[in-house]
Amino acid sequence: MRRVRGWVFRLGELFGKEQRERELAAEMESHLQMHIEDNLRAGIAPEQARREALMKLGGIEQTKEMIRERRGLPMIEVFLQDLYFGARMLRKNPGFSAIAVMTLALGIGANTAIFSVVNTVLVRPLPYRDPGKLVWVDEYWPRMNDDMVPNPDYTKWNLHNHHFEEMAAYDGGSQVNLTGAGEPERIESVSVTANLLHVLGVKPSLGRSFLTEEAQLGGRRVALLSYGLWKRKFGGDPNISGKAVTLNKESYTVIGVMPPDFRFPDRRANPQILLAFQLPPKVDWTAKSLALTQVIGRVKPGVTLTQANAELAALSQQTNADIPAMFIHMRDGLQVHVTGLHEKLVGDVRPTLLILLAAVAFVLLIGCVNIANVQLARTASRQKELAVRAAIGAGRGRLLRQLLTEGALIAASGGVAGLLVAAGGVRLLRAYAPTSFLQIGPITIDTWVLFFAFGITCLTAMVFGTVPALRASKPDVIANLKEGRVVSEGGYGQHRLRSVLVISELALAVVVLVASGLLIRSFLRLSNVDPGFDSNNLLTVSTALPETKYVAPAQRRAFFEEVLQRVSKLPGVRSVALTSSLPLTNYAQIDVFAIEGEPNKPAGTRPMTPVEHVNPGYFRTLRIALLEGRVFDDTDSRPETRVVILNKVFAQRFFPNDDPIGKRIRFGPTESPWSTIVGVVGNVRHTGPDREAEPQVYVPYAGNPPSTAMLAVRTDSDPRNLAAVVRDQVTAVDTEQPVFGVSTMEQRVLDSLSGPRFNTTLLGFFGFVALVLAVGGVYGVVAYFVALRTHEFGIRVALGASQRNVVGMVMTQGIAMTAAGLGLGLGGAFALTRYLSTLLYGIRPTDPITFAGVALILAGAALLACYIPARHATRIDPMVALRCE
Amino acid sequence: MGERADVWQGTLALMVLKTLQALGPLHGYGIARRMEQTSGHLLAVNYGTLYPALLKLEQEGYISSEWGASDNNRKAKYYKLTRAGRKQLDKEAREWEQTTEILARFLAPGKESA
Repeated sequence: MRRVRGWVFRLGELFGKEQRERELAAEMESHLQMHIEDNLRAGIAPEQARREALMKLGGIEQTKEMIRERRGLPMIEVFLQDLYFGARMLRKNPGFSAIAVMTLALGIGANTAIFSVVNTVLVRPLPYRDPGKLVWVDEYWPRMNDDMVPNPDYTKWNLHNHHFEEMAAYDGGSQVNLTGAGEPERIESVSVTANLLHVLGVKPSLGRSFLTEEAQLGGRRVALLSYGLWKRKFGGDPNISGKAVTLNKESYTVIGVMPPDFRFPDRRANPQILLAFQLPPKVDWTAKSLALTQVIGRVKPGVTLTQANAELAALSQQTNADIPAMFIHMRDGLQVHVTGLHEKLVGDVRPTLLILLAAVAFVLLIGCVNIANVQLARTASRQKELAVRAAIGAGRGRLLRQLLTEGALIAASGGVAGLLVAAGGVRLLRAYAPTSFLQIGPITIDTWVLFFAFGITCLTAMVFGTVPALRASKPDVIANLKEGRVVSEGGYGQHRLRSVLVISELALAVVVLVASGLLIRSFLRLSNVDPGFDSNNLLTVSTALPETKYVAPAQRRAFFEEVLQRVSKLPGVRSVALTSSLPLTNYAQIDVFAIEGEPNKPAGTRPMTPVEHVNPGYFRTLRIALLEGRVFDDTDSRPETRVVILNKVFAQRFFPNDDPIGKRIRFGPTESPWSTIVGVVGNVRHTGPDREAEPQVYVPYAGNPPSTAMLAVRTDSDPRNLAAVVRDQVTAVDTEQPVFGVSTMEQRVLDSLSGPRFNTTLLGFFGFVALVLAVGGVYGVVAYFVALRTHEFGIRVALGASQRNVVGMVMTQGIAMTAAGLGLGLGGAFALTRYLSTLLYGIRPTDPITFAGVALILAGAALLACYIPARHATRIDPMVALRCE
Repeated sequence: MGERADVWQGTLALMVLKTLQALGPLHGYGIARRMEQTSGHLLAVNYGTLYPALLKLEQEGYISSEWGASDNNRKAKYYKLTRAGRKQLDKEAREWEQTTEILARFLAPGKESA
């Protein structure tokens, strides 16, 4: 009770301070006077009387300070005082303050921005109901070296499992032509089982979800629109439910609209329309065609992934009893994989993100060390001020608190400015981050990100504030007061500490630089990979003919012939390629094949290859090298001609010992006709520059024109200028035919490297900042070393030391620090870079060239940073140096 | 000064309260002198340490202060006990006696056997 009263009293004492100070002074004065009078009366000499009274009291100022500590709420008062004083010190030294705050702002901002991505992708739960229970189910078929779940497996699991609350499936998604609502358009659709939305715990924001009978074979054709499509194409019509839309020339009834923030639980799919996945209700392996399904389940509470996995694997094993012989072979060694949905969605980007976060944290750490170093120098030159403060009664804690407050003030300013930097950084990330980061959810600065920013701000304050504060808060009062010089001898001890800081800073910088160097070298390799074709001045457009309208192959052939005719006549067009799957588009048509003269393999074990249907001008237009034989010509365009061209890998793998030209292979079932090999062409990296070319064959498109075809137009100048006219030529042949995928081949090459480019750019930037900070740190400490010894150098020069001697002395210092930093850093990098190996292409994580290069660059920059102050030391005028004593 | 004892906070407060009870209103210097005399100069009180203790007692409401004139007509700040101070003094003195009694039993030789 009394204690509380005490606090209230003290709170009141925060005010009316001057009055209280006067009273305090008066009380001390009266105390002294009474004591002196008593002493005089006791017969002590006047000077002695006063001295004795003062000693007995223990000093006026010290007593006052003790009382001040006791009065009011010193914590708050002192804090305000420190804050005020700290702000004054920072204002007095605007250069240092600006650089420190900017360094921190950049560091904290970059960290916060990167963390906002980490937060969205790795931390934030998926936007579904109880997402921890959602799992992804897949089957791995070792024979096919592929993951897939045919619908009978899904149905079997769905009907017989006990560990799942529910299981749902969807197809891989497809492109459909949307007509009848403004311009014809190609949009992405995904077919889902009736319960998928229920499994996810998502409800349409308008209308209803699918009914079970709509997701069965022969069910009504219904569609759920994405919010974006509904707004864009249907003007947000609130009465859209029940209206019809036309997809691929067939009519679908709209049953609802998805919520605006709905994201499909698959990074590869971003459907604008959801359809019902119509599957047979029973397990049936004998159906004419099987569908491939993507399976998402919700496990029951308490069921582990292992249990769920074991149950489904057992069910898949049982399936083996009732399926055709062909599948039994194919299912050899079949494995079931149950993964957490979140893991499935983000597992592959986690390493990248963590590496970026680690690198940016290193940069911030380097910045902190730098500021700590400058702070150390500043407190060294403030020794005298601190000694005076200690002499008039400031305790060690009091000095420490004041220095820490100054540090906290810088950190707080840096933190606030850092949030602004982070806001800008998040915008940049949203614009440039690869889609693999952006697909998971919106990148925003939310509460967690703010917490993070606050946390690292406090941490930085501690890192760069504590060391100098601890050093400086125990000044040697006597020595510092005696000494006339601003820079005290105590600086030598600090100098050792500063060297240690610079060495650690250099070591950290080496690690970041090696990481960015590796990424840059890997990226250069990747960019210089020969893709096997010439991507300059190539315009690409795609179109897909609905099979309901273009039923007969002849119809499709006629359509494409006319498009080819029209486009090749355009001015500025050199030649036109037509194909079923352009490189870098991720389209591929795969077929089994057999080579004439080799024994028949049982169904399910036959080799498979991508088959590309191309026009005769294809190889010339893409500039794919002809290695042997010939390319297709117009005579091959007759449907009955059966010729085929192999790529080099195919020829090497399947005809290792003889010339393939003239040999025959056939595709599809055993009764299909043979095709003659007429040529071998160079390899094309179809799926991206980082993937080695796979076996691949080409056949004339005329034999069986694909329904989805892509044009590549070789132009004289910038292909983008021709985009509109080429599009018009396609629409001129069929006004209902949407054109999509309009881009240039160069753009596609750029896009295929967007992930590596993003990582490389960011890490390169971090590396650069780390280099600048670390070299700045070396410069600072060596320059300080020179300033500290101005006097000594002056004497040395006066006694005849040559310029070389002085430079040598200073440089030795710098070289020792640089060598130590490099050694430590290279060792650290050697231990750490293996975590980078997933991001590297064609280069080992311990690539000696990168390590040597980084060592050279850093050593060069650091020595230059030493040389400048060393030169300065030689110009010291002995007279001036000695006089400044 | 060799044999003089240090004073710690709690007892210092008790001594201040007792002094004020015995002598009535008194200034800081007077309290310090009185304590020194009473202790037979066995206590080494740095007079300065008295003032924070006085301030604490005042904040807790056990004593109050006002400015007055000293014997030599010098202006001085006089401290006096409040009602709460008197009660606190009784309580602390009792506690102190108890403590010393207990300690005395421990320290006095041969008493346990009785």
